[in-house]
Parts: sequence; structure tokens; C-alpha cells
Amino acid sequence: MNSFNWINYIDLFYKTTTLLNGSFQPGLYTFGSFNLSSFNFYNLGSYNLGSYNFGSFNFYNLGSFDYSLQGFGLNNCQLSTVNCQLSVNCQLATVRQLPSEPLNIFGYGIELI
Amino acid sequence: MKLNVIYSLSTLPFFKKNPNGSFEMDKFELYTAALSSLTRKSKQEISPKDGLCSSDGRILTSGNTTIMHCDKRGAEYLRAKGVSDLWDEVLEDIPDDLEGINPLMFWAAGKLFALKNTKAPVLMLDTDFIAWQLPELGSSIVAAHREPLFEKTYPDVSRFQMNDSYTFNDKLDYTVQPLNTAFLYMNDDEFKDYYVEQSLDFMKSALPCDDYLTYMVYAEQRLLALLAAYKNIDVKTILCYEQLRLPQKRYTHTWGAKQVMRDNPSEEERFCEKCRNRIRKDFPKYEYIIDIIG
Repeated sequence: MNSFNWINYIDLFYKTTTLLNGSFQPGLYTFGSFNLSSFNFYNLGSYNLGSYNFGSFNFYNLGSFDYSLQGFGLNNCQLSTVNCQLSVNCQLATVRQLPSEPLNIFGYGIELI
Repeated sequence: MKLNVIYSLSTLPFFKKNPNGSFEMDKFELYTAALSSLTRKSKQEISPKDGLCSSDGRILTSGNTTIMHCDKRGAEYLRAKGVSDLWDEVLEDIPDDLEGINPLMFWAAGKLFALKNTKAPVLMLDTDFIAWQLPELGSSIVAAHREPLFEKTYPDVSRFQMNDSYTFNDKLDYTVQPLNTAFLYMNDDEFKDYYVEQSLDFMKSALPCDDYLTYMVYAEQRLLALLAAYKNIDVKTILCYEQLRLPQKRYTHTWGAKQVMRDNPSEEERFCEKCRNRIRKDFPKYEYIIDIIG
């Protein structure tokens, strides 16, 4: 089990901030909790979250499938709330190389152009 | 059998937000709109091998007609911009006032009017959706994909504030998953007209509010699925929601990437350069639009 506090690293309004530069090791990562009132997730309902990293980091409703780009991915993300704290738990996806197209995270098939 | 491939451009939502503004589509929007139409226009001869047939077995062989349905200001914009030749026709048939529909809540209402004004079989594409290949259109309805019933996006219908004359049909199965309509093929005029009527009725009956998401996607996407299930209309999708971002070779949908490009000029430029190269390579006759769009 690994954990880190990612609260300070995310910005959910399409702005980007640098996340970790270090490497992930396979395993289950438990992310810290943050206060729901501090964030406004884009389209967040009971969505599963994925993530990506191409020098910056955003969370969106990316589906629950294995997702990885340029190094790492998170899958099987689950949301839970306890005492108004939102927890996001994800499993590190197998590192693999998908078409390296960051915009594909928000749309699809963009590499076909 | 001729397939009408339609798009829509309604500028009223823009002018409602920007009463004194000057309407302009983003560069990347124009490029995807161009590639979407040119890709379909270029398929003048469609063979059974391409898998393009209607659900009753008719082969759609007489080529596509791509039609951009606009309101008056939308059509004027495309003509003044010099890009109207991207479509076989540019029609001014979307009501300038959207017949009183709230343009902020129902920013995609123009699509319903475009659908209303087109005979089946019809393929309606969003301008940010490119179908590099067409799928087998072997159902009455073929949509992009299902969408999960996320509460934030698709709340229970009891949450909608409607006028007194509107009632929700309690015979509908509200567990049916909505259909994403970035790609929407319909071959049944009777059902198409029924869906359009029901959708427009919902839009006209909704009380004004500042919810710019849930009302729109109910009227356009959820209602389509609900009514199709209610009428036992067969529905297929070209993609699975869970696999949208896995590699495939047939469809491009810029979708949320549009906002990324708006926020990030370098991403926009990178994307536009790819579009320029694709137009030069595959549609050299239309290379002139690169100078226009930039």
C-alpha cells in the first residue's frame, strides 16, 4: 500500500500543475482526502476517475478502464465520502504505451487526424 | 437510397450570451467541421463492401449529401468566412429565435430543428465528430455510444421544473441508458419526427433556470433512448462507453479536448497543424480553406 497527499497538486478547471516527477511502482495507491467544498469536479457524479500525466495533471471523468499515458495510469478508481471528505482510491494501471496523444484523454480518436 | 449527412449551427446561444459580440468559430472547430464534412463528401460511391446499408437491407449507393443547417446569422457567417463550400448545401432553416426555446439551457436545440427538417435516412454528426469510416447501419437508430446514468448529468426527472401543462410519461423505462448523439443515424421518419416533437416539447415546457447541462442532455440524449425503448425501436451504438479511449480507427471526437485547446494555445496549434496536413494530403482541392482558417 502506498499513499501520498495529492490535494495540492490538482486543479479541476482545466488548469494544469505539475504532479510527481518520481516513478510509480505497481501497487494500490490510496490518495488523501480533500474537502468537497474546495473543489468543483467537472461533471462529477458517481464517476470513476482516471488520470494522466504528460508533465501536468488533471482529473476528469475518464471512465473506469485501464488508462495510461507516458508512464503511468490509474484505474479502478472509486469515490467515497466520509464526513464530507471525498476519497479517491485508484489502482495503478499496468504501464503501457497508448497512442501518445494527450487530447485523446478528453476526446477520442484524435490521433487519426 | 441517398443518405443525408447533416450538421447544424445555431448562433442564438452565442448572441444571447454576447448581445453585441461578433460570432466566430474557433480554428479547431472549423478544421474538425471541415474534415468531418469532407470525409463524408468524398465517399461518393458506397459499396456494400463498405457495410453501408439500411436496416431493411437497402444499399445506400447514391452518395452522401452533406448539409449544414443554420440560422440566418450562422449561414451568413459561413458564407462571409468563405467556407460554405465545405458542405454540399448550407441551409437557413433553423429558426433564428429557436421558437422561443431558451438558448442558454438548450444550446444544442438547433440539432433538433435540423433533424426535423431532414428526411430519413439521416446521419446527424456534430461538427467535432469525424467518421473516417461509416459503420454498418443495420438498425433504425445508430448512435455514438451509451452514457451511464450519472446523477449529476442525468438526474431523476422529478428534479426538472416544468410548466403546468407538461407531464412526464410514466410508461417510459427511466433505467435505460442515454445515447450520445455526436453520431446519430435514423432511418425511420415516423420515429424521428416523434422524437423531435417530444424533445422540442420538453424544451419549450422547461421553466427558465441556470442549469445548462441536465435539461439539454435529457431533451437530446436521454429522451431519445427512452422513446426508442418505449416504441421498441432497435438501437445500436458504434462505440462502447467503457472503451471510448482505447485505440480504434474509425472515429474522431474532439469532445472535451475543445476546452483544453481553448485554454492552451499550443495544444490548439498542434492540433490545427495536424488538420492542415490532413487536408493537404487528402483533400487538396480544399487546401484554400487553410488560408482562410489560418
